[in-house]
Amino acid sequence: MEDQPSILILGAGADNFQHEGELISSLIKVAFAIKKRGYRVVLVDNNSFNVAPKLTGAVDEYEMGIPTPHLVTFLIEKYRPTAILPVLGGRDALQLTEKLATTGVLNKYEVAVWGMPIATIRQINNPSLLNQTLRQINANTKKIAPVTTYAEAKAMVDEIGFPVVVRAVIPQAGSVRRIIHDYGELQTAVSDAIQHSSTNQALVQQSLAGLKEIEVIVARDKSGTMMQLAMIEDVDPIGIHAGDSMAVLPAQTLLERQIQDMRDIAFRITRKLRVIGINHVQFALDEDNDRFYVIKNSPYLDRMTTFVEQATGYPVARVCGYLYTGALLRDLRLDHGLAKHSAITEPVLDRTAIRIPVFANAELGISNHNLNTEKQSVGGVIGLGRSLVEALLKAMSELHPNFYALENLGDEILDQFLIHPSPNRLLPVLEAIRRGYLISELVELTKLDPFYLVQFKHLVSIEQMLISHPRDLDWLRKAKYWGFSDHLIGQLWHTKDFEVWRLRQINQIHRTYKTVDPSAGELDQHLSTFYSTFELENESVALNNHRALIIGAGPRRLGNGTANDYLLTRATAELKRQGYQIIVIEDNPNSTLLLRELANKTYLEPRDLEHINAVVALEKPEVILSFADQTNLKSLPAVQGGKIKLISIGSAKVTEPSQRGISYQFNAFFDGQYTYPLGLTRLTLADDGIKSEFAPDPPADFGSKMINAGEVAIAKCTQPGIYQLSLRIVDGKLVKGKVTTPASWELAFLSVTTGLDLAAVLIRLQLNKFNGRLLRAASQRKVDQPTYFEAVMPYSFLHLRRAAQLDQMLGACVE
Amino acid sequence: MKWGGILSARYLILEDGSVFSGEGFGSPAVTFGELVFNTSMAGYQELITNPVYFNQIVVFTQPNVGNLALQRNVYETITPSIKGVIVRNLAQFEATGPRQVSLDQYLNQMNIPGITNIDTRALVHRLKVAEKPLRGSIVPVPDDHAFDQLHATVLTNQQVAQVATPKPYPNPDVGLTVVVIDFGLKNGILRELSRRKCNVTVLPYTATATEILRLDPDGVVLSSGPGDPKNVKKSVLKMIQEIQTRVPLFGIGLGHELFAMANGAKTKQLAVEHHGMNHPIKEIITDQIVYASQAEGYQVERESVDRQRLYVTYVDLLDNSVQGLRHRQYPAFAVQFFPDGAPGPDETNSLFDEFMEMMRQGGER
Repeated sequence: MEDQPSILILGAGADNFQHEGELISSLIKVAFAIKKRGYRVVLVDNNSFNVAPKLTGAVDEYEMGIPTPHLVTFLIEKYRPTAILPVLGGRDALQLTEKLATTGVLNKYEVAVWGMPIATIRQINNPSLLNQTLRQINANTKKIAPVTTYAEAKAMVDEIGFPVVVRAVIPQAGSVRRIIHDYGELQTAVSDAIQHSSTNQALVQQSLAGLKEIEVIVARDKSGTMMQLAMIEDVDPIGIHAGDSMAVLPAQTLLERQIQDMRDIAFRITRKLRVIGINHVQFALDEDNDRFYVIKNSPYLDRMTTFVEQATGYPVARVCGYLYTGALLRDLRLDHGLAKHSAITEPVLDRTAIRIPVFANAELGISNHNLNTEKQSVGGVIGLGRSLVEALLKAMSELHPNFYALENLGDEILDQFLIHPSPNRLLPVLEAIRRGYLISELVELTKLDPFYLVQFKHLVSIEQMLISHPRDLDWLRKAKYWGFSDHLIGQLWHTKDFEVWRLRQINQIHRTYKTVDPSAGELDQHLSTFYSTFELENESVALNNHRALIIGAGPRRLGNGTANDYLLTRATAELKRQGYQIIVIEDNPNSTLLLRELANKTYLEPRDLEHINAVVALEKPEVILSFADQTNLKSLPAVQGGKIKLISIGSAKVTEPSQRGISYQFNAFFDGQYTYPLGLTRLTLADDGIKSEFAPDPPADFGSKMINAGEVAIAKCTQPGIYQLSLRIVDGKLVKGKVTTPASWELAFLSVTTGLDLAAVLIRLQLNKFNGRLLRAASQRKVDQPTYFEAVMPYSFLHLRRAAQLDQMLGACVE
Repeated sequence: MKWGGILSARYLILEDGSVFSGEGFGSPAVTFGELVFNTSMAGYQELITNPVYFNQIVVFTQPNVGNLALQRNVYETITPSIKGVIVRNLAQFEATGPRQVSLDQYLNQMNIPGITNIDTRALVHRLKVAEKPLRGSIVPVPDDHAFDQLHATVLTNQQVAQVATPKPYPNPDVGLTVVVIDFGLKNGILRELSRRKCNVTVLPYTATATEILRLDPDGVVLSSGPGDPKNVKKSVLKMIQEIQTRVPLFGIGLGHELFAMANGAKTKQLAVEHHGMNHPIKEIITDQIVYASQAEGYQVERESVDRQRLYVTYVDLLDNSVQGLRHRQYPAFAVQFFPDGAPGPDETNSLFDEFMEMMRQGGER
């Protein structure tokens, strides 16, 4: 329809340290809601793993590119949107929107901004402006001021004292945030920050390190109605970036008075800033004097949005989407089984949810890397349980750490680990408890709230009882009740996970499933997301008809970035088209597999064999789809019994020394008989980055030689599939490498460049339902499709100097 | 290392015959009461000490309860009258200071039994399908004898008489003079009046209009309290009818139900009581949504409200219940929810300011 109003959504670009896939899944939910309200959605983004344009009905127009002022102005001219939506593109989108307002583009084309007024965007982009507003409404803030010289910084520190935090105003990439303890450090920090600032200013601020960190999440509609969606407590104190901290919902250690006071302030700020949709207000709570400070205000969707959504069962992003269009909370009717007026009923939990950050330190070979105010984690995992310990252990099982790795560590080194938290900081705490450290000592050393330490102590006490009671059924029951995995119990009993599982089977120690219900059982709702525990009542009833179980890709890690999620999502969409009911097991709250448009049923559970096996036993799927490297599924009893067909997609790829420099890949689909070329790619694997180019122009007549060599080599494959032959030109000669399957990121890139649904091709192939139709479109490639792929590597964010490795990719963009 | 979780085995039995096994904490006594569930995620100390829970056993849907030491300044009454506490996890607790008291210790001191490790979600599902609040008992052995006792137990319907003060007492300050009629007063109301410097006298619920007016108050508060408003002495309604014509009146909870009855409305018992703080409540005049602490076993029947005398000021959007009423002729109003929070949001706290304003205007008249 010509006269249907359009909305332009600013995408976030390649995943990096700031975002890890959550903006894509939120974008899709928001887009569905906006479209439901009668708008056309135009998306501009260049994240190579953004699955939104490929999902039926999510976006109407997709413009591939980095949202720059130039491009967005062009798109505004092209589509003449009613409004732009800058809340799904992180801070960059807000800065861009401010520029468009300042340069008059928005006025000229009469484009509204959804989510908040421009005046608010200005304040979010400039902390000192925001602080003025916060002071007007009597919200405490830390002392903060921009400086342009060291002398100014020194004068300020003379007044407020050390420690202080120094960072850049409107920072550029690679900028640093540091806690500074003396004048020597101050000098370098200030000059670094000034250098990395777009305005040549450094911000000096009072440090709140050691205080408790709380995040209040508020929704507000156009009429001013506000509700609290969540109050999240960070287990780790301020001084560790919120993204690197374990976060718990609901808050566990706050007094009622503190809760209500923070709620009041969060409401006041959200009202003052006239935010529509979601607003996150972060507080630092000083328990010694009950003072709290507002430390951050973020009126946009972020990683906590997806965490809250999965933890509460309240469809945060979808509701936000409706609110942006001007809908009122009281009028919203949510589908997917939610009761009437559930949109305006504040979510309450009868479970505990925890988000644990996932680090890449092991993959990067970094040891002794302490956590600080700069984010270092690359992903996050959610654990749901009926107790904190259960939620924690479930989330931890995704990380499969060795709980006893620190057994032989000297006390002094252990103390250092306790004082200077590093990734997996729980392990030294557990070790210290095993060694008999007192709670009061640990409070001193770790700055953790005693409540958490006492829960950890409880965990250790169960562990000790398991050790002293091998194969004891009472303790087995208790351990399962508190969330111990078969694996952990097996470790303590020096037996195999399988043996523990068998002992449970014999003695009927089974898990039950509880609904992720935002009303804690009060309202009659028909919801389809579950988590397990060991209790009386089971609420999950197996689906009928054809069922496919999808094993999610888990938290974002280095390697393929979110490419696996991209492929699994497209593959799942294909399974749905093939008539399967979709059951998903996933513990990454950001995953697009969790979309209600896709999954008929979701288990927010760890992706280990124990939990997969339990879901398989209940749901009896005919097909299990997983990421290809998850080979352990073959040992599932039902799979061994031949009742389930395993299918998979994607794979990881490591850098082989021979691949460094420039190499070519001939990519093709092989149906067992014929080879269908998908095109050549040129991979540039340089120390400073990784790039791939589609349909490159190889020198001289190498192009046709490559195609010939590729077709010959791939025709020799025995199994149908998508393959690539790696090729190089050495001393003017073509050198052939091995035939391999493309890595997940390559498959995703090829899907985007060729416009083919390669995930669907692979799925149909494995279901023996393949026909050539899907590939016929290959020749009709549109010209405006991307040709270049560029990886985002983690090194500069972590201040590392490394040669780029394929298996350390964090995200990627295409153009 | 000592296992921190060994408590004695206890059972929760319900009058429908069901048995839940768990572990006891607090007092080891046998207890009887009506089961209600509360969906609040925080404020267990305030909830447990609210006199509205006389004769009731409260199920907490939030699984972790007892996380913190008790706070000396947030009791809602000195001697709680709740009959029992049911939780999924009594939090592991270790005192980190010399004067810290755990929930377990406190309940033991106050002779209140608790039971933990209960599938509270399954229990809530059970309570929700019952036609009226189910009675239950926390017992050491779930045998026939225990069930016989449960069936034989008669819970008093004179809850107010049990929890309200028998004698007047003052809470002096320098501001406006307020009489609070105690139907099972929760300290939050006194706290809000103190914050506004009111010179308060708390009177027993049996106080007559004459006795109240003798103190020449600027206003009268009808407090919240437990039980069925129909079981409160009829003379109370007469008192309200008299007082509302003379001084500003503010009713809360049970006080709201009595105010409604005094003005011709009827009340009804809820099949499933509502306890929590997450329902959207619409203020009709401003069309604003607020959230407030609610603990309701009885509500005013909307159709019974006499439009000549009263009008509805607040409505719960989830169950459409009357949450506030105001008199058309007199400066008198009431709310079903707790505007004093404790625990709960502060959004309706301004109702106390409205009451103050009403009293000040009344003074000028």
